[in-house]
Amino acid sequence: MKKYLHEIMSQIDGIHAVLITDRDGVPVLKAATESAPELALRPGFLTTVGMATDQAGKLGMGKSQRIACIYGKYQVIHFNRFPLMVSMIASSTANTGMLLGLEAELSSLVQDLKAAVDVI
Amino acid sequence: MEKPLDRCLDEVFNTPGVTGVLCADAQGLCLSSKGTAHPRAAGVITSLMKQAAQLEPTADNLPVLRLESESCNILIQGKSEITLAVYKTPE
Repeated sequence: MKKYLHEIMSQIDGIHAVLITDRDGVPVLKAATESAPELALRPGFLTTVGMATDQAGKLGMGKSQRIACIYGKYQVIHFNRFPLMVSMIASSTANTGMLLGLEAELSSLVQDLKAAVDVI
Repeated sequence: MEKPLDRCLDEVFNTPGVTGVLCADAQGLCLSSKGTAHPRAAGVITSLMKQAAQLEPTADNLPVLRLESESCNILIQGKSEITLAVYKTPE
């Protein structure tokens, strides 16, 4: 599965890491390059997105599906796949549209992990 | 805020033979799309434009890409931070 994530990462320039975590930010599956910022790989950073997703769902427009945060040096894209969260960390110059398009490619992998997590 | 852009895209879309039109920003996000042009194609279109531009980095203008398939032709060109794609029926 990690190999699959690395293959997906090689499709787009500038991706530093792809993580699939639970709601507490604990990594279920992680693939990262050396250039990934270490702070962004910690559960403490990732769990805040779960909270942001929950809050965003209270805006009266239905459940939040994706969150894209673009910072000075990096961008972080999150897909809400309750109870899992898919997070991608990339350079701020990476193609955000292509990153958002990866959701479909990661869909089958996330489904398998979801089934495994549900069993546990 | 997007009315001038929409008017411009409507003008292109109403041209005979055009089945879709899409406008994307530098980040690959769709600004507007009409007809058969799917908003999710914005990332790929921008990426293709960037790759093509690298073939001739010293050129003053960005190249025009033409993708030909059985069902449609797609013309892509970028200027400053905007990329435009026009979907046309094959000639």
